[in-house]
Amino acid sequence: MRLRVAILLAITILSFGIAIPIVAQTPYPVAQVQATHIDSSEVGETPRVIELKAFQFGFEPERISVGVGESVIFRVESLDVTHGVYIDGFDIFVEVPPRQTVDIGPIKFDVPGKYKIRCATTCGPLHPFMVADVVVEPNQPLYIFTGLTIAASTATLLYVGSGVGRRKILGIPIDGEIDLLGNLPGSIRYLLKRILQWRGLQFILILPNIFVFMVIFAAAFVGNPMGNLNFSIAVVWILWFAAVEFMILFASRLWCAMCPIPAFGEWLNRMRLSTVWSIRKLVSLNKSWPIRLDNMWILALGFLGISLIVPWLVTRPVVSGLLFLILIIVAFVIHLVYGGRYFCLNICPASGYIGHHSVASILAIRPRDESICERHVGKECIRGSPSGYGCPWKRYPGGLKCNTYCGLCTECLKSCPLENMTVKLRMIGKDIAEVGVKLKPRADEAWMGFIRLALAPFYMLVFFGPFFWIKDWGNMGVNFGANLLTVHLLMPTSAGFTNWLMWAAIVSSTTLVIFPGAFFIFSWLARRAADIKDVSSKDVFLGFSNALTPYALMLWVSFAFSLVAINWAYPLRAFSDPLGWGWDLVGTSHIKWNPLLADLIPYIQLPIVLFGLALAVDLTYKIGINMFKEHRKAIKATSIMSILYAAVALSFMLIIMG
Amino acid sequence: MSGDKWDVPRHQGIQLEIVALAIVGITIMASVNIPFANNLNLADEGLIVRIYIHESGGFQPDAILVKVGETTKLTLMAMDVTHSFVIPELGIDTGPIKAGHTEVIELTPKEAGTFTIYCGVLCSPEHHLMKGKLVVTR
Repeated sequence: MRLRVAILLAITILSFGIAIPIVAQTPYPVAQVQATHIDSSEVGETPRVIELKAFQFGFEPERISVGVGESVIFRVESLDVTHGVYIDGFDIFVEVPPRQTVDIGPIKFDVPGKYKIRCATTCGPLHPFMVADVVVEPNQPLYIFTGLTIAASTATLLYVGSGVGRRKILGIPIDGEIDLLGNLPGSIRYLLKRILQWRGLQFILILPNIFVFMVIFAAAFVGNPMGNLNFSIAVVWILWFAAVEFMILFASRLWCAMCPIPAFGEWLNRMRLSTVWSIRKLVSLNKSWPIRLDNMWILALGFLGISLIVPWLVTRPVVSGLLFLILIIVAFVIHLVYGGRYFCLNICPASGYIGHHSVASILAIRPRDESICERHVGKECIRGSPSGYGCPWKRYPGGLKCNTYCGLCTECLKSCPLENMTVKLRMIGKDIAEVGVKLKPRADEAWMGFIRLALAPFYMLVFFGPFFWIKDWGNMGVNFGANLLTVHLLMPTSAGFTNWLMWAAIVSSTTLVIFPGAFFIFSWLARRAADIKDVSSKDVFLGFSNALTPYALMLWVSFAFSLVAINWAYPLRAFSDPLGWGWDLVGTSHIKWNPLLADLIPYIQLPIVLFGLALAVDLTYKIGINMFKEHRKAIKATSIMSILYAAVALSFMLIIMG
Repeated sequence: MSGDKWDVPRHQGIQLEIVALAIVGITIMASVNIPFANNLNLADEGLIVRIYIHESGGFQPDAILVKVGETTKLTLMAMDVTHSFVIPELGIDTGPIKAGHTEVIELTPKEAGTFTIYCGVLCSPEHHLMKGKLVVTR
């Protein structure tokens, strides 16, 4: 035991030890501003000329090495259409006309690290992902990131090993909860109660989203075929996508409460838009939902399926439009046949990941006192009352312990005659810490977690990495944008389609086999190392997979953050010109595309990822205690798992800074 | 516990429901009209020509009718990638227009006839097929 502590302490100190002197020496990274044409006479030595070719949709060479303090000139040639050059941290936006060569510079990189060269002129559908890497060496920030990652992992191990954090997650008490309808001062409590018990609440949240969806359809089907000029791409896949990722941590499944997709079906079931009428018998064919579909597999595989076409989905308006149209129609039919939110529970691809990560959310709807619910016979939370419908998500609110399938519709807050349902704030991962052999481990939820965790660094690499070939494979080699009228332009060549199949194989194998396989190996090793006999490898494997939930969420938040920081201008423009036809409704249609803090993005992503890493380690320990009942076994098993978690973080660091 | 419905009168809250339904209906109808609200802010800019790559439609419209001696304002918008608008016979060349941007020009043709419009900036594999017509009548 002492030996272990000593080893962990040594690693932690060493890692910090590597990081800190480098931090002290490294020039402070600030966004640098330089003109594109500096008088050559000012520069001492002759700058090195770096030849760069720009094409749809990448650069050649993909990665460039530059020395710290070295002056370079980028000689950029466009091989096809008009491209542009922007470099993270510099105020440079230079157009490169077709088949012409433009000199950009001299540019001096004073701060080591990795910078991206991004295309600055809309050149086609994959334009936002046209990127090259400039690595300024020696790459001290990478060493710092590596050291800090290892230190975070070992430090968390020391923390959980010491027993200090037994009833805490990273220092915050597990049992510390704020009952928003109980603990807050009277006036705020009263206001919250009025809002949450107002019948019109969900309707008011959904209504604007119906309008937004109609705009999405108009833009997707007849609007500008170029994605970044089209509302259905710019707003959905930059603004909405990122907002949902951020929202999950703070507001659980709040998006599901305001989602317009099942709204029409639910209103039809109830024959009402907001008031309560018939609560026992919903208008539907009243079929029972098939038991075989009562799991997360369709959600998980649906999300994976979306990932297979994601290069098209996030760049071609018609693809996004068709997806949402199909979802609305399917949701409506399911509501008609089965009555209740079975679409949301078992079909919607977004529902899978939103539900999966919402377990880690700080927000939760819970019964205030479960014993009251146990004694209460009426069970209006399931059956409904004149004040509220029975839970449309088919949960039992009185016994709700888990956010995964609770859509925050607030019906139970309205229907409960004893006002025993409330909204609570609590530490991230509280529900995960209570997972053990009590709750039956589920493979479908585990695989949802594996798919999510594996895809976050993968997307970071594919979309914002410099490797054109993989983007091209996912894109089926098609260079055209498309709305409904020009959808025929998306027809790939057979070579393009074959490449897509290889992309599909890579994505599927990584998420379904390789990462789960690695997780299983580590779980098996952890079980061996901790000498566990009474819990099977499969249960250890499935149990520990729950710890990935907040970790994956942090990785996705990091990815979403970088997406918004770079491309925030596109959704703002789309509000003024949703169809990309040259309108200017609110004056924002010509906001300049100007990445925000581009060179600092990895530094902002670092603490987010390390926070997720620390949570994964801590929660693995808590799950271990629940499963194995012994501190020593839990800590041994967690140590093994932490190696895998650190490896994931290190690969992310390599992707963003290496 | 009795029956399938609570004792909630059927018409309770029906007024609210009708208002809500009307709001939803108006929202949907308003949004369906969005594509038709074309030319919202370009009323004063004359004829709008949208320039797509040839594969997506080329010049839209591809034929412009003007009268000899009359001044016509044209708003040219590049829709997908960088294009330009060139009528060599009349010496008109807008220079590169970036995607999402517009260029406004004024034409005062001195003679009648049909003049070809080309795109002067390589924009796609079928760039050389991009053609439009400027028809000048008396």
